[in-house]
Amino acid sequence: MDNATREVFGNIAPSMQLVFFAMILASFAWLAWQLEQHRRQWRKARRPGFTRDWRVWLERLAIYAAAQKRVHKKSLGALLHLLLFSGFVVLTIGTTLLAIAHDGPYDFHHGWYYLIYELTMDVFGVAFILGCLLAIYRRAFRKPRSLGHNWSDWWLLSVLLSLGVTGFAVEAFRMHYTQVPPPVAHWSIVGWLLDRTLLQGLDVPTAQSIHLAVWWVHAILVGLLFATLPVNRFLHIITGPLNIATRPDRAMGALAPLTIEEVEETGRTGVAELHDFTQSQLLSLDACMECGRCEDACPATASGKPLSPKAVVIDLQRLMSLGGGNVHQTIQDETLWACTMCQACVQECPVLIGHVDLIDDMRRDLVGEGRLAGPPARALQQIGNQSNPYGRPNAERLAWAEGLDVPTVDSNPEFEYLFWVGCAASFDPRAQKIARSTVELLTKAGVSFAVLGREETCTGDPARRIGDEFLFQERAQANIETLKRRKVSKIVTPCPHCYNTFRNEYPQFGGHYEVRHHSTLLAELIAQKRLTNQHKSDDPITLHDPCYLARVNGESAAPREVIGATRDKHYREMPRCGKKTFCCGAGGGRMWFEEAPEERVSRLRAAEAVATGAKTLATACPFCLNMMSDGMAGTPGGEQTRVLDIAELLLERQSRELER
Amino acid sequence: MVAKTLILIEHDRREVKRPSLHAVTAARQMGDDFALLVLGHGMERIAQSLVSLGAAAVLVADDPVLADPLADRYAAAVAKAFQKIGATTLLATSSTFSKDILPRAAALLDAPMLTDVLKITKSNGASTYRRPINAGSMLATVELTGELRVLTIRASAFEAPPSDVAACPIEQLEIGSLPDGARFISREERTSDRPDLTEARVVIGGGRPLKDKETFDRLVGGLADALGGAIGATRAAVDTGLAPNDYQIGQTGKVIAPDLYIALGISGAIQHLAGIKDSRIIVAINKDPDAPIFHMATYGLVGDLHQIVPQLIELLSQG
Repeated sequence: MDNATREVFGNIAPSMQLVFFAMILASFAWLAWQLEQHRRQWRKARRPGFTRDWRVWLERLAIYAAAQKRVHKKSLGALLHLLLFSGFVVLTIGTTLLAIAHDGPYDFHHGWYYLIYELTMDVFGVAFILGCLLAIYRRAFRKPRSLGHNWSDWWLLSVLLSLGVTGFAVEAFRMHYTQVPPPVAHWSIVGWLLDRTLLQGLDVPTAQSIHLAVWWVHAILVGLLFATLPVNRFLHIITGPLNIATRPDRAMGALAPLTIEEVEETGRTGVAELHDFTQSQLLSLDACMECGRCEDACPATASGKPLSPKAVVIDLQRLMSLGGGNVHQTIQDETLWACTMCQACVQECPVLIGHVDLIDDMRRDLVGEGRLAGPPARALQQIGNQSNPYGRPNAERLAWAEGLDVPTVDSNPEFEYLFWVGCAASFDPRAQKIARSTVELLTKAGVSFAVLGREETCTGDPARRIGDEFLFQERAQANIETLKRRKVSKIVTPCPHCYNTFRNEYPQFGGHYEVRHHSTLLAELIAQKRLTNQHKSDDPITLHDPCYLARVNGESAAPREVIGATRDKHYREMPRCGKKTFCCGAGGGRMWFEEAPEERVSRLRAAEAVATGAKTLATACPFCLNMMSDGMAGTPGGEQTRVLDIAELLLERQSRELER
Repeated sequence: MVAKTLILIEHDRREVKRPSLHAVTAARQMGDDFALLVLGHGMERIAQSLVSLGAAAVLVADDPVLADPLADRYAAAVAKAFQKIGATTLLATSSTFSKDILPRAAALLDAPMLTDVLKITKSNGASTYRRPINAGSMLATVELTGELRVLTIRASAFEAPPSDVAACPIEQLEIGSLPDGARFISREERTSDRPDLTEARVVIGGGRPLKDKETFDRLVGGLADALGGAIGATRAAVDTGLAPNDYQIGQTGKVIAPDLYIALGISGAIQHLAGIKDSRIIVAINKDPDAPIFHMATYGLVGDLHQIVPQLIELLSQG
C-alpha cells in the first residue's frame, strides 16, 4: 500500500503537455483580460467605499464564502449549490495538490495519502455531478420564477456536467489501460466500477487512445470554462468573494451619509449616473449571480409592485456592461418608490449585496430633482415646518399624556432614561396608547425616566429613507443638540425606526447613546421581577416582528419575553418570523405613499396572521400597529382580531394580576 | 363711482359661490366704502343677486373673452377696475380662484399681498392683520406699509353677510384689451346637487361599517342632504367600493376644513385625521367607545349608526 500511486500525464507526450499548458495559459489570460474590463468599469466611480481591514475580509470570507452561511436553507437550490460548491472546491484543491506534487520538489502523491486522496476525489466528483443534475432538473422542470433564464445558464451547466463526466471517464480509461490492481483500484471507486462494468473486454491500446481523446476533451472544457467564466453566472466565484470581503462595514440599518463635498463635486444629491455609485457598489453589481432569493423575500414584489430587488441589480449590471449611463432611464421612479427598505433582500443575499443602499442613493437624486410629489412630499414639508411628518403642531407633543402624570426633563432633571416617544406614538391616536401604556409600566416598575415634551422633534428617519438626506441631517443635528443640552445618555423608545436611527445613524453625527427598544427594557424589568407577566392569554395569540427590530437590529427575543410567548400554550408563531419577518409595508417612507388596495403589503401579512388562527396580534412598532390594524380589519377572518402593542398587552396583564 | 375697497366675487357661471361673500363682512369691518367686481359672460343674474349687500356698486365686466377664468386676463381686468374706482384695498375670499388671480393683480398694481387673513384690527388709523403661518401652527400679526394692499380672507373667519340693504347700482365696466397668453381648452366637473367636498361648510364622512353602496348612499347621502352638506369617505370605504375615489378624505385624498364634520363609523386612523384636522366641529358616531376618533371629536356618540342615523335624518327633516 505504501507504493500505491499513479503516473501523472502518463499518456500525454511532453510536446502535448506543452500545448496543454499553453492552452490553459491562454484561457486564463483571456479570463484576466475580461476581468480587467470589469475592473475598469468599477474604477470609473470616484469614491472607493471598500472596507480596508483584512481581518474583516478573512472573517467574512470564512463565514459567508467558505461556510456559505447565507446559502443554507431547506430548499433544492441550497442543496444543489452545496453539492456543486463542495465538489468544485475539493476537485480544484485536489488538482492543485497533484500539480504541486508533480512539479514541486517533493512528490508526496503516494501511499495512504494517495488512497485517501483518490477516494475523496471520487466522492466529491459524484457530489458535483449530482449537483449538476439537480440544477438541470430545477432549471428545466421546477422553473422557479425568480431564477432567470439565459442561454449562458445552459452553456455553464453543460460544461460543468461534461467536466464531471469526462473526469470520471478519464479515470476509468486510465485505470483500464494501466491495469491498476485491487485493492488499490478500489480506492478510486467510481473509476473502478466504470471499468468493471463498461470497459470489460476493451483492449489496452484502444483504451489508451480513447483515454487520450477524452483527456483532451476534458482539458479543452477546462479552458473553455475559465475563458467564458465572466459571461455567465460563474463570474460569481470571483466577484462573490470579492464583494463579501470588501463591501462596506456598516450596520444594516445605517445608510451612508451624504456630504456637502460630494454634492459640490457632482452637482447632485445621490446617484443619477451609474458611476456616481461607489466602486464597491459597482463591484457588488457584478457579484450578483441572479439566484433570486432577494426577489423571493421582497414584500413589494409579493404585493405586485413594479419592484424586484434582483431586477434593480441586474438592470444596473447591464447598464454597467454597456459602459454606464443615466440610471433613471433604466430604472423607473415607481420602482424606487415602491421599496419599504425592510432589508429582507439584503438579509437573504449570499454575496452581501446592499440593494437598499442602491435604491436610497437613487431616491436621493429623485428628491433632489424634485421628482417626489403628493403626500410623501407633504410629509417631508411637514417634517421641515412642524418637526413631525403628520403636520401636527409640535406644541401638542404631550397631548397623548393628558391625565397621566408624566415626568418631563424639567420636572425630573435627574432622570436615568429618556423616554423618546416618537412622532407616531405622540400624534397617532391609535399609537398614543403605546406611549401611555409604556409610561404606566415604567412608573409601576419604579424606573427613573422623563420625556422631552415639546423639545422632541422627528428623528428624521422618514426623511432619510425617502431620500431627503439634508432634511434628515438637519433634524439629527438639532436633536443631538437637544440631547446634549439635556445630558441624555440612555434612551428608551417604543419605535424601532427611532431606535435604529439613534443606535446606528446618529453616531455618524456625533450622537452616541445607550439605546433600548421598549421591549428590551420591559423584558429586563420582567426578569428583575419589577413587572409581572404571569397571566397567559385565553385565545390564540401571535406576534408580528417589526423589520427594524428583529431583522435589522437582531431583537426578537425581548418582545416574546414581554408577552410570555414561551410559556403560553396559546402562542403561535407566524411562518415568517424573527430575522425572516415579513414587512407590514410602512417602512421606507411608504406610510405616506398612496397604495392601491390590491397592492397593499399589509394585506399579505394580515393573511399570514389570520392563517395562524390567532385572535390577538401583538406588535412592537407604532407603524406596524397602524398597518396591521388596517390590514386585519380588511382581511376576511381578521376583522375580530385584536391588534395591540406588547406594552398595552403587558399593562393589561398587570391589572389582571391584581384582580386575582 | 369711487370706493376704497374692491372685492372680487367668485361664481360658477350659474350663481355666486357663497364663501366668496364672506369678504364683504371683512370689508364692512374695515369701515370704508366697497365695490363688488364680477367678471364673466352672461352675468346679469349673478350681478342682480349681489345688490343688497351694502356695496357702493356692483361692477360687472361682461364679455365673451372673460367667459372662463384665465388668470392673465382676469388679473388685468381686476387691476383696471381697481384703478378706475381709485381703490386702495383689493379683497377676496381665499380660494384656488383668488390664489390664481390676485397675486398677478397685486404684481400689476405693485401692491403687497397677504393671504388667509383671519382678523383685521384697526388702531390709530393703522390696520393689522392676523394670519396663520407654518401651516397653521403659528399666528402672525402683520402690518403693511404703503398705500395699497391686496388681501384674501379665510371664509371660516368671517360670517356670511346679511343681504338686507337697499339695492345698489350695477355698473358695466369697459375692460378694453386684455392679454391672451393663455387659452381655455376644457373643463371637467362633477355635477352634483351637493356642494363641492373641499368647499362645503358641512361634510358627512362614511367609513367601512356602512356595508354596501346602497346603505352608504342612504345614510351618508341622506344625512348630507338633510344638512345641505357634501359627502366624504374614508380610504377603507373607497377600497371596498362604498364610495367613488373622489370622495376620499385623508392623507392620500382630500384635505377639508368644513365648519361641521360628522364622521359615521370612522375609527379615526391618523391618515384620515390628516384630512379633517382643520374642521371647526367634529362629531363622531361609532359603536366602539375606544375608537381614536373620539380623541379628536368635539361631540361623540357611542352607538350603532344604522339605528342612529335614520333617526337623525328624520329629526332634521322635520325641523
